Amino acid sequence: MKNKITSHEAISYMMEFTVTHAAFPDNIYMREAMCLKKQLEYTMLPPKETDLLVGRKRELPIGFTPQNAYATVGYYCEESPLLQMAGDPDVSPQDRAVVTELITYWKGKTTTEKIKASYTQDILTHVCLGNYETDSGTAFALYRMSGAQMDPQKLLDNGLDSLIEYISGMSEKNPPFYEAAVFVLRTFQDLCSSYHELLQQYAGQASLPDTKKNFSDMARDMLHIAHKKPETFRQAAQLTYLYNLVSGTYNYGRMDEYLGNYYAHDLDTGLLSEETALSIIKNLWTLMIARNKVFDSRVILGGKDRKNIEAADRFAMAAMEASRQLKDVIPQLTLRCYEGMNPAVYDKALHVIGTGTTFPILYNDDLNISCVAEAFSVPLSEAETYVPFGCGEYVLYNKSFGTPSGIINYLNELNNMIYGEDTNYLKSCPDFSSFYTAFLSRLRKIISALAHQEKLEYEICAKDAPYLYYSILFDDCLTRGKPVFAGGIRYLGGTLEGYGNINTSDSLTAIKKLVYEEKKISPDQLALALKCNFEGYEEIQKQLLDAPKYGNDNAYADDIAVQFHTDTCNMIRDCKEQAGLASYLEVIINNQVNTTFGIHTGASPDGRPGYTYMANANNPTGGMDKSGITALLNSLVKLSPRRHAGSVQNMRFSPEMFGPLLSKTKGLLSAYFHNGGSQTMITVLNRGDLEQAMIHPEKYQNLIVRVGGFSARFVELSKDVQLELLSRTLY
Amino acid sequence: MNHSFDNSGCTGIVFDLQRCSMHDGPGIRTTVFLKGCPLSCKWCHNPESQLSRSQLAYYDEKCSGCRLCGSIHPQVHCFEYNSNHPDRRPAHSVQYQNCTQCGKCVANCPSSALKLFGSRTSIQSLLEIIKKDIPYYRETGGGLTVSGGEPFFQYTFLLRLLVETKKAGISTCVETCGFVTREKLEEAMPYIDMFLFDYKETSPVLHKKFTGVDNALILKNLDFLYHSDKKIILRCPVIPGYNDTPQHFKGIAAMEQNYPNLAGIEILPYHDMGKVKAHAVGADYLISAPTADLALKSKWKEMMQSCNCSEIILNSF
Repeated sequence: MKNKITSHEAISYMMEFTVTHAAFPDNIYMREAMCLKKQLEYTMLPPKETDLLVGRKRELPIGFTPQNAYATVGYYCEESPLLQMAGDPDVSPQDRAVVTELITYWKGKTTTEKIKASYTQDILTHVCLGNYETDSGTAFALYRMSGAQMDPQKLLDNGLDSLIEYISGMSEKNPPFYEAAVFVLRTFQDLCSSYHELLQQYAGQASLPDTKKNFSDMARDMLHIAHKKPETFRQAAQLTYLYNLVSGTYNYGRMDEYLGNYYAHDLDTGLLSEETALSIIKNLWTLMIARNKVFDSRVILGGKDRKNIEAADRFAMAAMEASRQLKDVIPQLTLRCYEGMNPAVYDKALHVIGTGTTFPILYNDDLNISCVAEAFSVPLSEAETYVPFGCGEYVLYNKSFGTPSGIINYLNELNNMIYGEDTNYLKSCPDFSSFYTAFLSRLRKIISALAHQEKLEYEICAKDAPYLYYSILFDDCLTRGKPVFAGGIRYLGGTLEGYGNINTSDSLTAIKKLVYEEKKISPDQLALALKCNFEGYEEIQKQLLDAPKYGNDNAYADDIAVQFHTDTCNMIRDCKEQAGLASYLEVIINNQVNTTFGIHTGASPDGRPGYTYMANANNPTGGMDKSGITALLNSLVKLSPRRHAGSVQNMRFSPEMFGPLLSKTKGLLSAYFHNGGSQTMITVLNRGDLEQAMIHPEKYQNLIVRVGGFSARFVELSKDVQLELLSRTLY
Repeated sequence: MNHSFDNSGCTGIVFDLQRCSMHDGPGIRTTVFLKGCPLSCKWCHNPESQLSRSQLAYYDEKCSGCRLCGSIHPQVHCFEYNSNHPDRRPAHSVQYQNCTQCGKCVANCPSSALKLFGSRTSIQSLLEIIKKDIPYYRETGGGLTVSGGEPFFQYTFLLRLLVETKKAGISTCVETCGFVTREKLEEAMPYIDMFLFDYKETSPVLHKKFTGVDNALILKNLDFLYHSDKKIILRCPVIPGYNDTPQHFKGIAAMEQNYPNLAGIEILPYHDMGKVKAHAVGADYLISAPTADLALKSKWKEMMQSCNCSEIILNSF
């Protein structure tokens, strides 16, 4: 186990990994188990001197993972970093030849390529195969199995020895699966043992007594968890984090629930001081930060269904404090709030948000549980376990999977109908209703293709590998004797990320009012003005901008937004049967694709200039919400959360709202939640901070902002994204 | 007293409506701003509110020089070529006296450089908006605040608006300069849950100099409201070079002693946000002082302390 490896070592490893892969053409179980064993040997890293827990790893250009930094899934081989490595003058000609051999071997064998090769004509017609970051288009597929929110309770309750024993005893249904599961758990045990030895060695070499003690404590914990169930908070944190890391997930489940009892016990018995416990949590956060996955990294706190509310809340308070102190964009700390919750936890959350942390993200259990039940068609008893992952997509904790494998740009499709193709539908459709129907019918075809793509992606992944570390923890996989994506998990669902929703509904509003009702703008005029990006057509742009806009509690604009929201949610949800998924739901969660898509999307009928950002998620176009925050909140709650799997509501407040006006802000949020608000993500900053940060980035290195479903350091964002943030209203 | 009106045709000139107002009384409020004021305070932060009719406003920095407004109303919008202008666009001057407030040039201005302050608004349409935020009022003890201008300047409209708002179960607050007849005050009083009552200057002579009217009626009205057990927050604008004097600060302290049951006394330090608006509507703005900064505020706090103002006053700004 080394901190750094040479190119030669990396290439040799990738060769070994590849040879292993080639050795098991007919047994996907043993193939994955053996590949993972090889992969762990080379990718797991030793702890840093300041670490209190073990949990760092590197990623190499060939390997196996549910999701990675390269946006591929399963077995992957990334050519460009490989070629870069081969181009290194220090690399020998022999190694260069090996790289070529590797690239040749993996052609057509990576999971992503297999998925693409399986596409039907329908998918190829409607889904762009290009890159959404550089190409213009309406629909793109994403390749990843993201959003595993696993419950490690099974591991914690049994410990590895007992879990292995348990799985070994259930071999009758699918022996190769169970054997492989046992194999990867033994690999995990071996990993713990190697860490144990390494840490003992580190302890022996350490000169400072504190460091020595820390390493020997870590070594002792490693030895313990390699076999037995954890007894202490630190052991439990260690086991669960390491397992998550090895499994490849970037989401860390309901941590207050699974670590709360250990935390409370150790504090109550005096085994840990509050300060040391906080240091452990902060170290845990630091390990997550090192993985640098800002779109994921969810840690879930709260929730009315937790069995150990008191202990869990104590951990939640400490977790929020850790985030307040670290002020980082990771983890995405998430708090499920509910009527009757411990007020100290809620107050702590508002305090932490008020200091500009952007976390925790607040979710409204009192509403969301019933909405999840309806959207996913599951009983309330299962819906109450909902957890957001990534940028805010819901799954049922440990029971469902719902990776977003598609993204859709509604606005691009609307533009296509007006000036992107030969026909201007505004001319051929005699009234708004027929135009809208034509629009929906085009979307329906695209969405149906995306739903089938999602299902296909699961099928190919399942054929290619059992995703063993996931299959061990996710409910039902072991008892059914089936891997997670091959019928193991209880609910294999899918999600589709919608973008440009509000620009589209505002565009429809302007079309309805100005083209069809008032006839102030003719179809030809509109098409021409849009094509010219309003150059020479400023008056038309002004009329379009002056048309009613969503976000102002204005019935005209909001009704159309509601209609479009309802129609897309239903259209997507209705695809689950034909695609053969347990659920297929829209997520209006937004990362920064609103901007990525926007800069490839021309001028739109809402008055938005071409090739600029689109509005974020369900939020109004920046600066178009001019009627105060209560009006905005009233508009937001009109878009029902009963038919989708999550939407995000970004709000920006001045520090005064979390200082002298806190009691009013509390009331504001409370009324919003009572009125049907499902979620809120709050950035607190000063008026002018963002402008100043663009001029003097060096002075604003720590200014954290909520972009979409993730937080970021403002100065590190691209200029386009910065401008989108700047456009948003500050309350 | 029980008022029942037919409000179907009742309209007033409203120049702004702010939802989720955090600084105009208890809780979260919707603030309706009515045009017209009997005073003419030199520091008025809403100079666009002083006249009772609507007013055209022009913002030079937004003007693109397209002259569209000039083609609509040549008698109002005049353009002259100006080589000194940074954008080399023609200088746009507005002949406010020729404006009939029809709003046509405003609606057509592509760069939003024109605005009309004040439009005839019905009680009904206001109530529709006011009622939308009932959940937020309930949660925070908020409601409607009528501000201005001086709300009593459009008395009939004010009274009907208050009556209807109370009927809807919404709490009301009126921000007033207090320059109003006793009859009107008495009639409207039952429909007002709280007064935000201005206290601008202690000396009657200076009061007249700064605001155009003597403060005798205002003080009498304040005393009357206080002894009628109305909830009152006294709001004291402090303007550098005008009323930031020991005499006036002592006057504020005296108010606190004479009226111990006030719901609050708030100092409103001067800000110059009225300046741009005054220029936009073609009005004079004579105060040259910048917005009160921290140093000036601390100085005031020291002065107020030596004038026996309480901690409550000192902590209000």
